Amino acid sequence: MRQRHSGVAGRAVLVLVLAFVVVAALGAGAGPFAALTEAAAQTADAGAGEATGAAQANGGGAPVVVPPKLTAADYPRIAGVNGRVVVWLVAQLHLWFAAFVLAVPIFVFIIEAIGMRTRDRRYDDMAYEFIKVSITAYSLTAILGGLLTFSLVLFYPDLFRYLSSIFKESMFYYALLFFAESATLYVYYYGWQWLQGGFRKWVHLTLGLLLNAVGTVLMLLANAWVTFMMSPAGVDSAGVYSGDAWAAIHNFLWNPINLHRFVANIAFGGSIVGAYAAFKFLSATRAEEKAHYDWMGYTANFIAISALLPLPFAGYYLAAEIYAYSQQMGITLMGGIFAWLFIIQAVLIGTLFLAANYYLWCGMGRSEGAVRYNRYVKYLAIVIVAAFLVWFTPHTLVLTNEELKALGGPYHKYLGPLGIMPAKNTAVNVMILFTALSFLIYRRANKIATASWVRAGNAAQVALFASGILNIFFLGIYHGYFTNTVYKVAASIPQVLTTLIVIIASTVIDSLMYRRAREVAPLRWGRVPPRAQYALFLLAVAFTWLMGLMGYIRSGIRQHWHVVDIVRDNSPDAFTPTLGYAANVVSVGTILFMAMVLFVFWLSQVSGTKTHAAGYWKAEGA
Amino acid sequence: MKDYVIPFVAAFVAFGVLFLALDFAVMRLQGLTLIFQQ
Repeated sequence: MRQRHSGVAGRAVLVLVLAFVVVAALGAGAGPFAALTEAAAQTADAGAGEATGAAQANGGGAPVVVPPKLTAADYPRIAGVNGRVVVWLVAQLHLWFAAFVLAVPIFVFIIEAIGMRTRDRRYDDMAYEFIKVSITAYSLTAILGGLLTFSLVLFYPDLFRYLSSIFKESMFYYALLFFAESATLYVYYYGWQWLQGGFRKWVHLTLGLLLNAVGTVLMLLANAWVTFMMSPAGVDSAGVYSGDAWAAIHNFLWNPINLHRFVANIAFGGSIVGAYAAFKFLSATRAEEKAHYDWMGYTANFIAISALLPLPFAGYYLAAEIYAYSQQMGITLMGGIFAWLFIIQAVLIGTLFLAANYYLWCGMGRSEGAVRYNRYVKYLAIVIVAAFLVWFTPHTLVLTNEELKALGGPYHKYLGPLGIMPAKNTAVNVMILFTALSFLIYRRANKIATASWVRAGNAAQVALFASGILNIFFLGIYHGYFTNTVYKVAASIPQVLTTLIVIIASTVIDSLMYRRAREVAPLRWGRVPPRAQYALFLLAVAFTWLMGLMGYIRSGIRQHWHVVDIVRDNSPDAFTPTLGYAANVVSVGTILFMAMVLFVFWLSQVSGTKTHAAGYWKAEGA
Repeated sequence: MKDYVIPFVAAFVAFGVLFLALDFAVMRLQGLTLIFQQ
């Protein structure tokens, strides 16, 4: 009875916190940010700076911030150091770690809640281990954030002054929120074993919710600074800011980036903890340890892929909004110099899908019942590889004159049509559907359905996939090749919706069909080949590299502008580097990040290791 | 065989109609038609 009351009270606490978070988020437009704006008006100091991006007062006393007009002399140099590359690498490293530490608490919260619901201790232990990995990463995130701030102040002082004059309130509250984030994270982690059972567990889960709420607000604020540089708002055409903080935050690209980063962070975080589980699996010597880390790796992969499936749609939305904001930026993005990086992106995304599917197929070995489905794997592989090939087929090729003549033009006779977006949209939707099918088959592998309507259910599922794929092809081929550009772009939306409907409907049918299913035999966790673990490593590296490349593109499309059309970049580095150079910088960043991540993994390994130093310490009572 | 074929055909027709209706509605919402018109 007491436990029931404590559970009700705990739920009430969680609901109250949740309500507070929702109300705060909904009221953000009018409430806190309006207060920020007011604060900006009150605190602006007319004598705070010069005309180089500092706050000034106009005749009426209202605060204004004037954008700086920079010359090469305004960028301090340190001998032997390239400021741009330093800022590039440090910002990217900070972002990777930030993405990781923001994502991990999201799925830790979900796993902890599942553990509470099912009362299965294994979920709680796994959630605890996930958050343990993110603790060291959290320190590295903060250190890199500090290093980034110093680098910006050192190498881009005028730009930083301009941005911090506009975002002074949000930057100040960001720093304060960091305290809240740290405090919540440490209580959440260090209090894990203390806050167990009944009401205490609810308090712990509530802390997890708070941690996620604070983390998400931190991300939203930082996103506003980044997107302001791409789509400035709250300023006039000359870049003069008059104090509307919410307008500057709520700029055109803010929400598309928020959505894209939120989903991508979860996928990325899942892949990194998947690599951690793989690392632990490969170094485990006992069968129980292998079983535990195999399960952890599977869960991490499930999280990564669940977020990866909607990610192309969020990316497409972001790209469409960039194009809607500025055609020039949109064309530079996918039709200009950065187009070839999108081919690399396509290869990496295809690699992610292949690696994730390969991991699932290897994992079917855990089940005695998988033998019934093994024969279908080759067909799944053929379709996914074919979709992958279409997905990364370039539209135009880099050719010599001789090659151009031999080809009869810049486009290949058969492959050329596969280089345009309708073909790629069709391919990626098919790739996503077949990955979902892999999951479905994996899930079924160890079960025997007992529902009386199982044959009809199977037939309905085949019909669902078949009609969905036909519809995707109809939209892709008919609207993609026999209509105009408006129709081509418009048809991509029902394509996406078709994919989502097929995934949701097939999951619902499958869940109902297998609701009272029997298990073939207990799943043999740990019975998975080591090569499956390398697929998890591949996922983590591919995600990291992909984020680095796409982050460079997102930033690079500003070209010679620090803040588009407002603050011109007049530094000696104000040029778009060659693709090879950019790819090398990103690759160096990826290697640095992976080295630091290995350090984090190693630390978690050593923290559980004890050395018995016989004879070193004085004997007790001596 | 009948256990599979009939539900398959019924579901295929139902889902097919659903997807076409979806295409029609989404294109219509964007001010376009399902079949291309100049």
